[in-house]
Amino acid sequence: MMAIVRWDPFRDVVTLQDRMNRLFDQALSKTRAGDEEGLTASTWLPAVDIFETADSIVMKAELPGVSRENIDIQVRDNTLALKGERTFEREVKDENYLRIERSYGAFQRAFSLPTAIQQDKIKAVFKDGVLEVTMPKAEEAKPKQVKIDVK
Amino acid sequence: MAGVSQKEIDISLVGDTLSVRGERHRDDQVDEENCYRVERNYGPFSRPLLLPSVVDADRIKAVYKNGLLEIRLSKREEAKPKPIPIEGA
Repeated sequence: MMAIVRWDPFRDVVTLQDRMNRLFDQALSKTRAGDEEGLTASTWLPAVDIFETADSIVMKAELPGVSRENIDIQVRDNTLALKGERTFEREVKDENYLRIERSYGAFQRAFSLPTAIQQDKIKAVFKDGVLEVTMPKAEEAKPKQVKIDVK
Repeated sequence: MAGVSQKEIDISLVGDTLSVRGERHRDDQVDEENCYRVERNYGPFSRPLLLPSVVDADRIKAVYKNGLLEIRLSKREEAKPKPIPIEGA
Protein backbone atom coordinates (compact mmCIF):
# COMPACT_ATOMS: atom_id res chain seq x y z
CA MET A 1 0.00 0.00 0.00
CA MET A 2 1.31 3.40 -0.87
CA ALA A 3 0.62 6.70 0.82
CA ILE A 4 -0.19 9.45 -1.61
CA VAL A 5 1.99 12.53 -1.21
CA ARG A 6 1.03 15.98 -2.24
CA TRP A 7 2.57 17.06 -5.52
CA ASP A 8 5.14 19.80 -5.25
CA PRO A 9 7.38 21.45 -7.86
CA PHE A 10 10.59 19.84 -6.67
CA ARG A 11 9.21 16.44 -7.19
CA ASP A 12 10.18 16.60 -10.85
CA VAL A 13 13.85 16.64 -9.98
CA VAL A 14 13.46 13.79 -7.55
CA THR A 15 11.29 11.92 -10.01
CA LEU A 16 13.91 12.31 -12.71
CA GLN A 17 16.55 10.84 -10.46
CA ASP A 18 14.19 8.08 -9.47
CA ARG A 19 13.51 7.30 -13.09
CA MET A 20 17.21 7.13 -13.90
CA ASN A 21 17.71 4.74 -11.03
CA ARG A 22 14.91 2.60 -12.23
CA LEU A 23 16.28 2.62 -15.74
CA PHE A 24 19.59 1.29 -14.49
CA ASP A 25 17.86 -1.27 -12.31
CA GLN A 26 15.85 -2.50 -15.19
CA ALA A 27 18.82 -2.71 -17.47
CA LEU A 28 20.95 -4.61 -15.01
CA SER A 29 18.50 -7.07 -13.55
CA LYS A 30 15.95 -9.13 -15.34
CA THR A 31 13.46 -9.41 -12.53
CA ARG A 32 12.53 -6.71 -10.12
CA ALA A 33 9.65 -6.56 -7.75
CA GLY A 34 8.01 -3.17 -7.31
CA ASP A 35 10.24 -1.61 -4.70
CA GLU A 36 7.45 0.39 -3.18
CA GLU A 37 5.17 -2.52 -2.68
CA GLY A 38 7.46 -5.26 -1.50
CA LEU A 39 6.50 -8.70 -2.58
CA THR A 40 3.68 -8.52 -5.05
CA ALA A 41 2.50 -10.71 -7.81
CA SER A 42 3.41 -8.25 -10.52
CA THR A 43 6.12 -8.02 -13.14
CA TRP A 44 5.53 -4.49 -14.35
CA LEU A 45 3.79 -1.37 -13.07
CA PRO A 46 1.61 0.86 -15.22
CA ALA A 47 2.02 4.62 -14.93
CA VAL A 48 -0.76 6.26 -12.97
CA ASP A 49 -1.87 9.85 -12.40
CA ILE A 50 -4.04 10.65 -9.43
CA PHE A 51 -5.61 14.03 -8.89
CA GLU A 52 -8.57 15.49 -7.10
CA THR A 53 -11.29 17.86 -8.13
CA ALA A 54 -13.75 19.57 -5.85
CA ASP A 55 -16.10 16.59 -5.97
CA SER A 56 -14.04 13.53 -6.57
CA ILE A 57 -10.72 11.79 -6.77
CA VAL A 58 -9.70 10.66 -10.21
CA MET A 59 -7.12 8.08 -11.14
CA LYS A 60 -5.88 7.59 -14.68
CA ALA A 61 -3.80 4.56 -15.54
CA GLU A 62 -2.06 3.85 -18.81
CA LEU A 63 -2.96 0.40 -19.93
CA PRO A 64 -2.62 0.22 -23.70
CA GLY A 65 -2.94 -3.27 -25.07
CA VAL A 66 -4.70 -4.61 -21.99
CA SER A 67 -8.17 -5.86 -22.70
CA ARG A 68 -11.04 -4.83 -20.50
CA GLU A 69 -11.71 -8.24 -19.06
CA ASN A 70 -8.14 -8.44 -17.87
CA ILE A 71 -8.49 -5.42 -15.58
CA ASP A 72 -9.64 -5.72 -11.98
CA ILE A 73 -10.43 -2.69 -9.80
CA GLN A 74 -11.32 -2.92 -6.15
CA VAL A 75 -11.90 -0.30 -3.50
CA ARG A 76 -11.92 -1.30 0.09
CA ASP A 77 -11.44 0.77 3.23
CA ASN A 78 -10.13 3.77 1.35
CA THR A 79 -7.64 1.75 -0.63
CA LEU A 80 -7.86 1.49 -4.38
CA ALA A 81 -6.38 -1.71 -5.78
CA LEU A 82 -5.73 -2.07 -9.49
CA LYS A 83 -4.54 -5.28 -10.99
CA GLY A 84 -4.65 -7.16 -14.23
CA GLU A 85 -2.62 -8.70 -16.97
CA ARG A 86 -1.34 -7.90 -20.40
CA THR A 87 -1.14 -11.12 -22.32
CA PHE A 88 1.58 -11.70 -24.81
CA GLU A 89 0.05 -12.52 -28.16
CA ARG A 90 1.97 -15.40 -29.55
CA GLU A 91 1.42 -14.53 -33.14
CA VAL A 92 5.12 -14.20 -33.82
CA LYS A 93 7.64 -16.91 -33.05
CA ASP A 94 10.23 -15.95 -30.48
CA GLU A 95 13.17 -15.96 -32.84
CA ASN A 96 11.54 -13.54 -35.24
CA TYR A 97 11.42 -10.73 -32.72
CA LEU A 98 13.87 -7.91 -33.24
CA ARG A 99 12.91 -5.92 -30.19
CA ILE A 100 10.62 -6.42 -27.22
CA GLU A 101 10.35 -3.40 -24.97
CA ARG A 102 6.77 -3.51 -23.87
CA SER A 103 6.10 -5.15 -20.55
CA TYR A 104 3.80 -8.12 -20.44
CA GLY A 105 2.37 -10.18 -17.66
CA ALA A 106 0.58 -9.40 -14.45
CA PHE A 107 0.55 -6.02 -12.76
CA GLN A 108 -0.74 -4.95 -9.40
CA ARG A 109 -0.81 -1.59 -7.63
CA ALA A 110 -2.59 -0.24 -4.60
CA PHE A 111 -3.09 3.34 -3.41
CA SER A 112 -4.30 4.85 -0.17
CA LEU A 113 -6.91 7.45 -0.90
CA PRO A 114 -6.49 10.77 0.86
CA THR A 115 -10.15 11.32 1.67
CA ALA A 116 -13.22 9.24 2.23
CA ILE A 117 -15.17 8.39 -0.89
CA GLN A 118 -18.60 7.07 -1.73
CA GLN A 119 -17.92 3.52 -2.73
CA ASP A 120 -21.17 2.86 -4.47
CA LYS A 121 -20.75 5.78 -6.83
CA ILE A 122 -17.43 4.87 -8.36
CA LYS A 123 -17.25 5.01 -12.14
CA ALA A 124 -14.60 3.51 -14.36
CA VAL A 125 -14.13 4.20 -18.05
CA PHE A 126 -11.58 2.50 -20.26
CA LYS A 127 -10.96 4.36 -23.47
CA ASP A 128 -8.03 4.49 -25.89
CA GLY A 129 -5.86 2.53 -23.52
CA VAL A 130 -6.44 4.89 -20.57
CA LEU A 131 -8.40 3.65 -17.58
CA GLU A 132 -10.09 6.50 -15.73
CA VAL A 133 -11.57 5.77 -12.32
CA THR A 134 -13.65 8.55 -10.80
CA MET A 135 -14.42 8.28 -7.10
CA PRO A 136 -16.83 10.87 -5.70
CA LYS A 137 -15.79 12.17 -2.33
CA ALA A 138 -17.97 11.49 0.66
CA GLU A 139 -20.12 14.45 1.59
CA GLU A 140 -18.21 15.27 4.70
CA ALA A 141 -14.92 15.30 2.84
CA LYS A 142 -15.89 17.90 0.26
CA PRO A 143 -14.52 21.36 0.83
CA LYS A 144 -17.25 23.64 2.04
CA GLN A 145 -17.29 27.36 1.91
CA VAL A 146 -17.86 28.84 5.27
CA LYS A 147 -19.53 32.16 5.12
CA ILE A 148 -18.00 34.62 7.52
CA ASP A 149 -20.13 37.44 8.70
CA VAL A 150 -18.11 40.49 9.46
CA LYS A 151 -19.77 42.61 12.03
CA MET B 1 0.67 5.56 -26.56
CA ALA B 2 -2.42 5.64 -24.43
CA GLY B 3 -3.93 9.08 -24.15
CA VAL B 4 -2.46 10.42 -27.37
CA SER B 5 -5.04 11.27 -29.99
CA GLN B 6 -4.61 9.92 -33.46
CA LYS B 7 -4.08 13.26 -35.14
CA GLU B 8 -1.16 14.01 -32.85
CA ILE B 9 0.86 11.07 -34.15
CA ASP B 10 3.24 11.48 -37.06
CA ILE B 11 4.97 8.50 -38.66
CA SER B 12 7.59 8.88 -41.36
CA LEU B 13 10.09 6.64 -43.09
CA VAL B 14 13.36 8.07 -44.35
CA GLY B 15 15.71 5.53 -45.87
CA ASP B 16 15.60 2.71 -43.37
CA THR B 17 14.84 4.83 -40.35
CA LEU B 18 11.27 4.87 -39.17
CA SER B 19 10.33 7.86 -37.00
CA VAL B 20 7.30 7.97 -34.75
CA ARG B 21 6.60 11.38 -33.28
CA GLY B 22 3.75 12.94 -31.37
CA GLU B 23 2.63 14.71 -28.27
CA ARG B 24 0.51 13.95 -25.28
CA HIS B 25 -1.34 16.89 -23.79
CA ARG B 26 -2.19 17.35 -20.16
CA ASP B 27 -5.74 17.77 -19.00
CA ASP B 28 -6.30 21.47 -18.81
CA GLN B 29 -8.96 21.34 -16.18
CA VAL B 30 -6.73 19.94 -13.47
CA ASP B 31 -4.78 22.38 -11.34
CA GLU B 32 -1.30 21.34 -10.47
CA GLU B 33 -1.79 21.62 -6.75
CA ASN B 34 -4.59 19.12 -6.83
CA CYS B 35 -2.43 16.34 -8.17
CA TYR B 36 -1.42 13.62 -5.77
CA ARG B 37 0.60 11.60 -8.17
CA VAL B 38 1.84 12.28 -11.67
CA GLU B 39 3.64 9.37 -13.24
CA ARG B 40 2.51 9.55 -16.81
CA ASN B 41 4.72 11.31 -19.28
CA TYR B 42 3.41 14.38 -21.02
CA GLY B 43 4.72 16.50 -23.81
CA PRO B 44 6.29 15.70 -27.18
CA PHE B 45 7.94 12.39 -27.90
CA SER B 46 10.00 11.06 -30.75
CA ARG B 47 11.28 7.61 -31.51
CA PRO B 48 13.55 6.82 -34.44
CA LEU B 49 13.94 3.14 -35.21
CA LEU B 50 16.49 1.65 -37.54
CA LEU B 51 14.88 -1.13 -39.53
CA PRO B 52 17.01 -4.15 -40.23
CA SER B 53 15.97 -5.39 -43.62
CA VAL B 54 15.01 -3.46 -46.68
CA VAL B 55 11.38 -2.42 -46.47
CA ASP B 56 9.06 -1.21 -49.15
CA ALA B 57 8.15 2.39 -48.38
CA ASP B 58 4.99 2.21 -50.48
CA ARG B 59 3.47 -0.63 -48.50
CA ILE B 60 3.24 0.59 -44.93
CA LYS B 61 0.10 0.22 -42.89
CA ALA B 62 -0.51 1.78 -39.51
CA VAL B 63 -3.43 1.08 -37.19
CA TYR B 64 -4.07 2.94 -33.93
CA LYS B 65 -6.49 1.24 -31.61
CA ASN B 66 -6.99 1.42 -27.84
CA GLY B 67 -3.85 3.42 -27.37
CA LEU B 68 -1.75 0.93 -29.25
CA LEU B 69 -0.08 1.88 -32.52
CA GLU B 70 0.71 -1.02 -34.83
CA ILE B 71 2.81 -0.39 -37.92
CA ARG B 72 3.23 -3.06 -40.53
CA LEU B 73 5.96 -2.67 -43.09
CA SER B 74 6.29 -5.08 -45.96
CA LYS B 75 9.66 -6.39 -46.94
CA ARG B 76 10.74 -5.86 -50.48
CA GLU B 77 10.59 -8.88 -52.72
CA GLU B 78 14.34 -9.35 -52.95
CA ALA B 79 14.69 -9.26 -49.18
CA LYS B 80 12.34 -12.15 -48.58
CA PRO B 81 13.99 -15.50 -47.97
CA LYS B 82 13.71 -17.77 -50.91
CA PRO B 83 14.18 -21.50 -50.69
CA ILE B 84 16.73 -22.89 -53.12
CA PRO B 85 15.91 -26.34 -54.43
CA ILE B 86 18.69 -28.92 -54.36
CA GLU B 87 19.06 -30.98 -57.48
CA GLY B 88 19.50 -34.67 -56.95
CA ALA B 89 22.89 -36.10 -57.94
